Amino acid sequence: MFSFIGYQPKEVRFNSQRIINVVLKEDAAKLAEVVITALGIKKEKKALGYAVTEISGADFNDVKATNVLNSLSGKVAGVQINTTANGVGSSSRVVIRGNSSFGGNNQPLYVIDGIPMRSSSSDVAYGDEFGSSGVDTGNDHSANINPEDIESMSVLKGPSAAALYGSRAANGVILITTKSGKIGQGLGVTINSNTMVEEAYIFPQYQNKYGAGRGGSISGKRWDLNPELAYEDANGIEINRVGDDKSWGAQLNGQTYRQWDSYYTIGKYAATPNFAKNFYRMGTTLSNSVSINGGTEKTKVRASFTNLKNEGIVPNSKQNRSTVTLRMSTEIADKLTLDGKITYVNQIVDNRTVSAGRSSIPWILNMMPRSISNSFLKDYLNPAYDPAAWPPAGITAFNISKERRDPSNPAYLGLWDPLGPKAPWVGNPYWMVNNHTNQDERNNYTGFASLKYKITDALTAMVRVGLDQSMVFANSKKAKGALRLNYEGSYSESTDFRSDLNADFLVSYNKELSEDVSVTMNLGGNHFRSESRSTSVSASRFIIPDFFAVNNFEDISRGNLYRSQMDVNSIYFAGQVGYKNLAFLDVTGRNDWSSTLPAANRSFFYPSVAGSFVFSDAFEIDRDFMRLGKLRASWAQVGNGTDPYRLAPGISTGRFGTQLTIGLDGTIPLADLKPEITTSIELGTDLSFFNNRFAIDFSWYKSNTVNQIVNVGVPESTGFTNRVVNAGDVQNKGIELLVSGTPVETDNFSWDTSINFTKNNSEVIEVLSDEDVNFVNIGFVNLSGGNGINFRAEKGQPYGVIYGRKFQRNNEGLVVVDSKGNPLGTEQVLIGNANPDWLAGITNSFRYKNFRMSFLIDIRKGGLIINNTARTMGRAGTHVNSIAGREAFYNSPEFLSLTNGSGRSSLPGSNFGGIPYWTNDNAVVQDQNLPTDASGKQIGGELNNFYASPRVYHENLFKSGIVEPFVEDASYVKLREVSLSYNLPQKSLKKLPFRNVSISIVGRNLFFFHKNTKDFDPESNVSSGNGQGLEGNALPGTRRYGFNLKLEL
Amino acid sequence: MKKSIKRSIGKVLLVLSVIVFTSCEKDFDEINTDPNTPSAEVIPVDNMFLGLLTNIASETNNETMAIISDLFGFAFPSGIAAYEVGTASKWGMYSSIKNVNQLIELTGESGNSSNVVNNGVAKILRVIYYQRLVDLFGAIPYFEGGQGLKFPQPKYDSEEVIYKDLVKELDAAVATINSGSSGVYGPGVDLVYSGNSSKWVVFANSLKLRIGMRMRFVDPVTASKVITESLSATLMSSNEDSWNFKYPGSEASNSSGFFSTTSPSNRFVSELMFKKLRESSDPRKFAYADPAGLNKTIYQGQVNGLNVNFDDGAQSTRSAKMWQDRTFPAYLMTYSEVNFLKAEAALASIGSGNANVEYRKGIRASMEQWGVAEADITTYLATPEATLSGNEENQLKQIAIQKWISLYTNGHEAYAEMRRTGYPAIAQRSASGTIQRLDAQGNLQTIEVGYRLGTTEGIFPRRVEYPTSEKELNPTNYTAAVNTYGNGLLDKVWWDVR
Repeated sequence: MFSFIGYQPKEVRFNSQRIINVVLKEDAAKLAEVVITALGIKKEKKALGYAVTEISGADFNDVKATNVLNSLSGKVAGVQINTTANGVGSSSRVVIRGNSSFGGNNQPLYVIDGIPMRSSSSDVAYGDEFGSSGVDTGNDHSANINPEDIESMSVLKGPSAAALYGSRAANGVILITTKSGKIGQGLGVTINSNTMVEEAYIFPQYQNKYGAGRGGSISGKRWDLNPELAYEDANGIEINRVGDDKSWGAQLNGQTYRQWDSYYTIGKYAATPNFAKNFYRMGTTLSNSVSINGGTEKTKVRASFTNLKNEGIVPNSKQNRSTVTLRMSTEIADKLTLDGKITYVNQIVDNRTVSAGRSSIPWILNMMPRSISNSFLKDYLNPAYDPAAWPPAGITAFNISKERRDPSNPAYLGLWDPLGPKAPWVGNPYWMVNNHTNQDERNNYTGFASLKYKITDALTAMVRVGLDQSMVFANSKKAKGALRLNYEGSYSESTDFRSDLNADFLVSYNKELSEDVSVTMNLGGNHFRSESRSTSVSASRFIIPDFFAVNNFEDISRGNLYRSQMDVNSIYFAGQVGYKNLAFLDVTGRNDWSSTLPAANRSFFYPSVAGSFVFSDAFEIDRDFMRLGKLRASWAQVGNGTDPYRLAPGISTGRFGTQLTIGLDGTIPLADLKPEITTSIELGTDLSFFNNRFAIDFSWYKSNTVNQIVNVGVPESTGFTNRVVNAGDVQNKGIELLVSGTPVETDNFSWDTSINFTKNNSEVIEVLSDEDVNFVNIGFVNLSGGNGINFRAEKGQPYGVIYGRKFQRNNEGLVVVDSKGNPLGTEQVLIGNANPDWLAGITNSFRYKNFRMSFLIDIRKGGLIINNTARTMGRAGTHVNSIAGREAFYNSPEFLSLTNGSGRSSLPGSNFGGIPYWTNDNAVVQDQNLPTDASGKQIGGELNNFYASPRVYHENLFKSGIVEPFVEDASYVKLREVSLSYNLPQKSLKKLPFRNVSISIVGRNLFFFHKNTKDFDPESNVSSGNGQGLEGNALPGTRRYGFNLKLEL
Repeated sequence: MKKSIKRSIGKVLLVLSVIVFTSCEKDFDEINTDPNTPSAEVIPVDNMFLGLLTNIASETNNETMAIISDLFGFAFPSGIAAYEVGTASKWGMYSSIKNVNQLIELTGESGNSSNVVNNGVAKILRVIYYQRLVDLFGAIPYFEGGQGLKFPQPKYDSEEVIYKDLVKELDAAVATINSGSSGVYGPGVDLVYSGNSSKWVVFANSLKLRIGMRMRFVDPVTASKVITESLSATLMSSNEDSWNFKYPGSEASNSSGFFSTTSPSNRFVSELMFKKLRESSDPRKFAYADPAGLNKTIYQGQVNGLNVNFDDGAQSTRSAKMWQDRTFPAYLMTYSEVNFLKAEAALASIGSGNANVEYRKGIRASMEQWGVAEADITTYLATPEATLSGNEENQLKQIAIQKWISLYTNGHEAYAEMRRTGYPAIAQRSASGTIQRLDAQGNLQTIEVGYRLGTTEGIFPRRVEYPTSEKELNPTNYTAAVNTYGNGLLDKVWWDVR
């Protein structure tokens, strides 16, 4: 007979101070034989027909990430975390077993103490230099959960595990159980203090050889010398003119010059190699928490307060988050338990980093001429210049004092007077961080109350109401000033309210029918209501300068208002039959009624079946050799509704003064919308040997998502741009492997190790069956003047392939250039995709007496990322790539033979020097008279003997939108986490008022063992939306390290 | 105690189950009704009409078209300047055609807001859109266009067929309007003719004259018939009759498209335009642009296609009248244009008009429209420029160029007429040229600059390419159209035969 390991052993495990992955724990006594599954039902692991991974709170408390989701990285097979490099409060993307939906966000559902929580991440608008770009507003409260409060997290990967949470769980579920007090344990106090610093260490490859200027000279005189123009001042010092604010100037040799950022300063023309590094500061994160828990015989209580203060590496950027939680559970009458929790989170984030363009700090730092010094720009408020000696036309000032931005002041710049000084291409970052600011404040209230009544020993009934509300106030301020885009100032403000209500009931019946047969039955219902309201208003053109109130602006756009509501009602059941505790069969069924679907399709049912077979027990395998041998199989479906208001023809409205304009929306609705259905199969085995010293957990899965509710394009000549369809079939197939072991275990020393491995292959099997539509665009990013990249779900390809422009090539594969040596681009073609080939995580932890050391290595193989940093920096002449060919070009006979004023700016290249790229590549010249092959490629062609001017080359490459040379491999091997901790021995504790004291030194993302991207951390995606694989002037890669102190009273 | 609790729990459970079971679908239709926009069944036609008018107005003042037709010159190193025309936005007019079709249906006999006058005016709007599209792209989906899933992949129709149908549509629209009596749409909505339906008829007649004239060289017989018909109808007879959309300008959202909340910088007048104005001492230059230079005396345009970022202040910016006046209107068709059309008809011996008289009336009307002082008008009318002379070709050139000057701000029409008449001609651009810029002392200096030549190698484009979305989403019809009518920037449209 087997001993049934019930709740007591589990309690032991949860109280354990050991900080390793609980699922992997090999200690027989502490084996994680019970896991928390859907609806919070605790199940024996061997009874599960599907994969669940559980991680204990300690695993993400030790080495804290400011966004708790990032702590999952490398720890759970089947889970991919994509981070962004958007600074404080930025978002992450969590995808379990691959992307499946064209239109949905593909992210899992978070269930905290049984209450489903809205999950979303910020899909940042990313644009070109002039385009609209946004800020990353972070994840919803899934990321705001205080790691200190987490008891454990369960990752329910497939729909089988998640079927009971219904439509919202189609992308998997992350189940979070928070800590509660302990019955009968008296009062306990835990204090935790964590201090981390953040250091920027991965910067783009800046060149330090050439400074601001044109044509190889500071003033541009080598380029288009015109005797009448002021290239030099009266003393013969060269002037760097305002238009020449890219790094195409002379060699930086410390010569004296008047720099474009201030005519009044005679500067030293020298490189500032660490310009960006000097600008950033050391980031800090302080996280302090105190929790009190206590319990009497009938009541347990836990209260906690946590404050997180995070100052980002960009000056003036910070995040301050406070969380208060009260959890109480009490037996108010015999067999009747009342459980309740309330959490309040207040988070204020200042100055999230703008993702791209002229308001983006990292963009500015990357484009800044290499000859500019930090100290000069820093001093912008005190330029000691004489207004009377304002410079002549064509010369400008960069540093602009407040007085000079005030029109009532005689020294007012009048920035846009055609004869006055003009704003340069890039803004002063020191001015920007103080004058182009944004702030958002999130107030989040969540809570639940439940009543549980134990009617008989076998029958329990529960009712519960949970509420999750958040209110976000955000604003964005742009002072009058030095930026072209916003010289008259602007202000915008928005308020977003969201509320999710869940009302549940659940009746459970648990009975051993006979010695061999046990039965569990659950019947439940859920009412879900989701509402949102938002308002926003924006204004521009100050009346009183730099006073930010909506009424202080000349133009106020009427506020945008939006509200939406959806309801889903559900009834579900779950039943399990166990035979002799060695074979189990699970059946679930759920019916949803969704308000977002038409009456005929509103109600939909989806079932699941799972079984497990403990063969080690059935065949009575020697328990010393094999402790557990289990096979499992499951089949499940999950249905999914859609967003509200997609059934009726849409109307688009606009304001025209006090009037309203109306037109039909560009989307043709589908009145007969059906729910999306995901069907999945999973097979797996759990094996553990040698008293749990060695274990293997393996899963294979396949899931197909059909009937996707998605917008597909229609020819614009129909008057519409797209229509809603039920179409598509996305398949994800993959394997997950977890191998863990305890090679050494003695009283004083132990070594635990584990490796997890994830491989997922996605394929878009079908887009629209009855028409020749082969793809759906799931995202577009404008890189320059309308040229950009598209993210697609395309038939026969993995989900999210990237389309962009490549070099035009002839039939022999040689690059085709025009008669001036400029590259020609193709139309949008397949570039590749960002999905990794595989992911792996390796954890090792060592314990020696009271010391413990552990580290996590996170590995990603394959998947591309487009280096938009090098692309944009090339144009600005600041990237090392832009050095090549300069001297050769400036010394070419063509360049030297030009006489004054003869229009060198029209000179595209020479026959003797310049960028040798195309000639080395044996490029051919485009010739319309040559025949083309079947695919339209030019056959043959004359070899190009034209060298390009480096500036012309990089500008044209940028404008063309060709991304081919910027595609890089995002693989990496990263030291994700390290910690070294020491628990004070019990002996010493006796003299102290503490029950437990532990101190740790921790590090996160310390370094890469390997990466292929030279300019950035390969995890620097611009957004956490469905379109992945683009980096662009993100914040530099950082490492974080610090220490942790934990005191238990 | 125990029992009562048990009972109350039972009650709660029962109530909850009942709620869930019985109300599974209750109110769902109401919940899923969008509270943010009105429902499609009750669209107020007034707001829809206003939406279309504002769209036509902003399309009229469209800067892309003005750059192509060399009315404006921008200093941006943009693709437009190199004749790499962004087409997607132009093809987007189909989105408005969808709305016009809806408006025609709603105001038609069986529509919810049936009204003959409104129906006729809506039909005129459709003609405006389709003529613009066909003039830009050549063959386009017409009979099957803009009707949603009724024609999910619309077929392309030839320009000739479309042109002839546009005339028919206009005639029908006029007949429809004349069969009714009430005003045009609700109060405050018709920001063009203030609800005066007879002015819409006058406009329709004048538009017919424009359409007829467009066919003059390719199909003289039809053109002559259409022109003769329109000449005998009531045409615009004063600047009051011009189709101009009057922006209320009370706030940013109803202000002129030219009104800039930022600045006039980089909003220059084309040097080609200025050359013509300078050569004949045309007083309109003061209305079209503000002078540059230290002493604000330089009237100097911006050459389209410059590939250097040019902001030294040597170019005259668009006039303050235009960019600071929130109410600056959009001129779709002016009285002055009608005069030039009549002059050309007379020149071609269609009708009984006098070419020179109409020509001079056209110049006067344009100057009056731009607020030129009477004395300056008289002076200008006395110059040889203001009198037709020479052979027929030379007279046509004079008419065409004056019309082109008068079309300032209306890029669509200017681009079409340049192609039809060949005047003003834009020579193939070379890779470099000269331009004047200011030196440090504020004096003009002539220097050489380079241009981007774009895919046409600097040749003036004769049409706009179909967007790639057609190629991808309407491949069969797209391919058929390209094979029949071509799709190169240098392929000419049907009426472009000179």
